[in-house]
Amino acid sequence: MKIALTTIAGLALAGSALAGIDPTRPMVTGRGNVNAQPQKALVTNQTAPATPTDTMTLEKFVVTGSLIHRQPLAAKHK
Amino acid sequence: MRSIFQGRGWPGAAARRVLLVAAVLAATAAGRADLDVSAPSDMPTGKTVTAEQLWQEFDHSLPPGVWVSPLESKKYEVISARWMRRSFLPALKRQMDTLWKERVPEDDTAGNCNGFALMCRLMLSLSAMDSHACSPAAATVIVKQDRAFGGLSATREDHCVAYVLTDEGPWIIEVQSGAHTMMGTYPNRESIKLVSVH
Repeated sequence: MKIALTTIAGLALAGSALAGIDPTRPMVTGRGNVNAQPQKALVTNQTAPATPTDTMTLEKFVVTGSLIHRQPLAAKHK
Repeated sequence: MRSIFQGRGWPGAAARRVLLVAAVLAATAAGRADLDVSAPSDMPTGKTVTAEQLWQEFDHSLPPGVWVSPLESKKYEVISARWMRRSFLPALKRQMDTLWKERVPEDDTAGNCNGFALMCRLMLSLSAMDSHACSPAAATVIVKQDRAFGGLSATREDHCVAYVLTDEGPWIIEVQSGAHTMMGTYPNRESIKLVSVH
């Protein structure tokens, strides 16, 4: 009986967790959909958000390119 | 031996000219050396997750605050870890060897970590297409390389690696070396910033 109740409670929790998510919209782990929190989401590359403690700021990710250098790279021969 | 040109009434001089032009074209083509991408064709299929389940996987295995791109497919193929080890990772290493021979890797160009992570996703997609599978549960991951992993030192730059959801759990792959680890033991897990599935 205890197992059954635990299972039902687990399924109910999982269901409620999934119900609020639209996976076709951007998400943030630990928070869910970005558009569900329009007052908190701030998609920008600005450097000084108004309330930095409670905003989700999407940095402008610049992948600078960390390469594993196996050999010295010389100019291509044409 | 009877020449095909003689058999069709071609004059000898004209035949020699055709052969010469063909030889020049062949030499030119060999000099250009197009880049090819190939992927193993024996991907096992049948184990899938829904988009909601894949989101849950990200939500559970990643630290809070990681941006996850929209998931546009209804179902995603969970990749066999055994197949990854036996077929895919060796193919990935061969592909990287080819790129190194062609002198493709270069900082601040398309041949950087971001390009190679995309290539890993492309190879998985090609294998999935060949097996008529769902979209592979794979992603590119932007992470701050605070700690060394897979042959790359702690550059403290934004770096790009590949994510694959296998039937043993989520993997992180350093594409350039083919090194992999479970997400739980990935040394830069806490500095992951963004996961892009599409």
